[in-house]
Amino acid sequence: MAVTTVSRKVEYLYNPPPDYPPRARRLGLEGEVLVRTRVQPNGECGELVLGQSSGYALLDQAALKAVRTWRFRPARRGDEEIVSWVEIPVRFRLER
Amino acid sequence: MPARNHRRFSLALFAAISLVASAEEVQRMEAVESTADEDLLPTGTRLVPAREAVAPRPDTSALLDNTPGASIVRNGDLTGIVQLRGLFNERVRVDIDGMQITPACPNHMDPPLHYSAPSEIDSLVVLPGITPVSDGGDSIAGTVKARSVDPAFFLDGPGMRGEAGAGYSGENEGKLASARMEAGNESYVVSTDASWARANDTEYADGRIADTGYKIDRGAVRLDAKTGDGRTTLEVGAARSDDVGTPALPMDMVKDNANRVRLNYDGALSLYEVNLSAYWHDINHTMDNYSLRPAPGMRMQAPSDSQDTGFQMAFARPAGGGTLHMGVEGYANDLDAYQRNVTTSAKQDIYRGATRDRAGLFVEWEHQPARDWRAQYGLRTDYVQSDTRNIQNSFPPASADRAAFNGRSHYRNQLHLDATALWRYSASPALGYLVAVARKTRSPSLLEYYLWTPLSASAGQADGRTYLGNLDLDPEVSHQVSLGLDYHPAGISIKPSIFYNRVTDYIQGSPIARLDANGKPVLKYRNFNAELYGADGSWDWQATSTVTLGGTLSYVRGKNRSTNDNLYRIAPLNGLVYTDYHTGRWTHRAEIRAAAQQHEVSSYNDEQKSGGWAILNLRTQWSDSEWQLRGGIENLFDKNYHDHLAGINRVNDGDVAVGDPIPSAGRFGYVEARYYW
Repeated sequence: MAVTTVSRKVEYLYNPPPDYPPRARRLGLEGEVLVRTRVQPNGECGELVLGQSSGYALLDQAALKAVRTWRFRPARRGDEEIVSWVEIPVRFRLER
Repeated sequence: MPARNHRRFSLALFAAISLVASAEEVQRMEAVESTADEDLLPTGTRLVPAREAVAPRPDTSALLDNTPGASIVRNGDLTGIVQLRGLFNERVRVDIDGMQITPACPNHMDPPLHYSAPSEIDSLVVLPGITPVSDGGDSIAGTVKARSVDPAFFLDGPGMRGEAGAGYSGENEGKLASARMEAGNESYVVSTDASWARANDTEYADGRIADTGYKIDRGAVRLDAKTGDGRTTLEVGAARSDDVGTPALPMDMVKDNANRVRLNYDGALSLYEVNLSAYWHDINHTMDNYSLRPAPGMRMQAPSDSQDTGFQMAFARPAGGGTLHMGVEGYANDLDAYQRNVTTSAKQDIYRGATRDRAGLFVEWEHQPARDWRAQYGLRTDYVQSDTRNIQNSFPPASADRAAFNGRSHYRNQLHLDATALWRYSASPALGYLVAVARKTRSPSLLEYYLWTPLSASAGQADGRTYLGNLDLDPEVSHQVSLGLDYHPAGISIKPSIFYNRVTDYIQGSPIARLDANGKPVLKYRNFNAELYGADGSWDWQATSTVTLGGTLSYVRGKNRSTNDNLYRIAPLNGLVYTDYHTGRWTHRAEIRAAAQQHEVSSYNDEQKSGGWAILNLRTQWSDSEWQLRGGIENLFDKNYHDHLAGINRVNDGDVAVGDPIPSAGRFGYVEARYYW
């Protein structure tokens, strides 16, 4: 079977950053969460998993909650919009 | 200096490697960043114990020594009592994973931080002065929050990780070891922490300081479970110390056993972020005046028991364009203590069935009133009730005191009303101004109310005097204001603060027409008016890509306005200047710690003046993703000096005379190694 290469990679359509969890801010928690999600042909998130924890449940949950609401431009193979996995680094940083 | 993050770093590396295998399926997107201003605090320092450049010690309070606005009152090597902006003991709230711990010892040989090992702690937040009401309650000086490591779940399936370390410190042949293990899967983690430390007497420049050794073991087992959108933690822990010398006090801590159970939930419920916690902490403490020091004519022993039970429910949600924090807190302490003549077995109660219960309620709103402005307003009320049973056992000379005390009602209750307001104005991205005002309340402690006969029990004042409680005390009410500046152009950070604190009904011992066994007037707790003011801050400058300079400075002046006397045991002007040199995996540091003389001493309890001093310390550290190695030399020039807060020697042994200030350690070296896997 001939393999057609991906003609377009996944792009962000609507990806507001997560709100900083107030208690995490109060406790001074910072970190990076890696969220892996399966982008559906309709641009919504399918399966959503934590790829790498920040070490703090508060930040992990805030990242997952935000990504769940995002919309993407799905990947294409030829003319067909396809399912594909992406990995999203979500960083939480406090400004001093 | 990096440390505990190694573990997270190596995990990230592992995750990255495992992704290579499936690279053709997983597309890495551009990172998304969520930022927020650091918590709205006029001043405050967050310490990560594993990153602090200090000699290995099992004493968590030692980490705070160089923090702006903080000092440590010390009566022995493991008895660090936190002083914030000149106020200490119950005036400072110490919160260990949400627990409030009341020392069992009437002289606070076992202050709260005694029960938390540096190796268990992930972060230590020090908030001198005005703190948000959600972190306050029944305290007027500020808050110290210790948080233990939250183990990460194993997202790639069942696994194990851990760390172990050992250290040696030459001033007291101190040996220290600790280990940590975590095992679990994506939903559960079981973790254990254990630490062990032993030390002999401390050597100073001119000899040995008697009665300063210790033995301490601490441990905890904890289960973390992923529950819905949150994390539930159940922890069981213990701390055991033996033969801890306290040469500034009339007795030593010969045995101190503490056990705890803690349950915590952090998560989300609809719009709310929720924190629910409950705990039980029990201390069995025994001290005596003959096991570790030359026995006096009358050998005495004093066992005590302090039991703390508490809960907290805190909620946060978006509201009015900002965040609303609300919470309820409950806390109960039960305290018993007595003294026993070891020869005759005669007993005398110190506390008998004393109880102190507190219920608190707070609401706090944080928002952005205008561009470049942030504000936080808080209101809090606490209800405190104290009671004790009648005194049953007394030595014959105290019979009249017992009758007088038992003849009165002991129940006391107080309602507190606290309020805080904080504003921050960002004049530019590199310049912020901070203003904070507060009213804070603290009710008298059980000792201040119920010390029914003159005893040398004073919550660790260590002034050699005897104190007497007072059933007619009023709560202390503090009105304070703090102004701060936060200037951070590229490569530089300067954060100075000034403050003024007026305390109405400040509680202090004052002489009465009754003499103790040494012929000195007994000091009875009474209400006065006091004021404290001063300045503190920190700075650092990234001079080149490899060199950083920095420092801290703290100054406070405390006066009793009613008597025109100075407040007792206030840290003199003190600070630290350091330079760090980073090269590859190495960080080298040279630092000078210094304190000015303290001549503003309190006359009511014959406080001694102290001279200024400066010492030079050299430190080095090497680290990679698995190993962290540290070493150093403290007090390089072997200077003979004493910290003003270190107390007066009462032990007739060793090379320090009775009545002389207890010196600090002479020149010594230390090494520490830690391995993460």
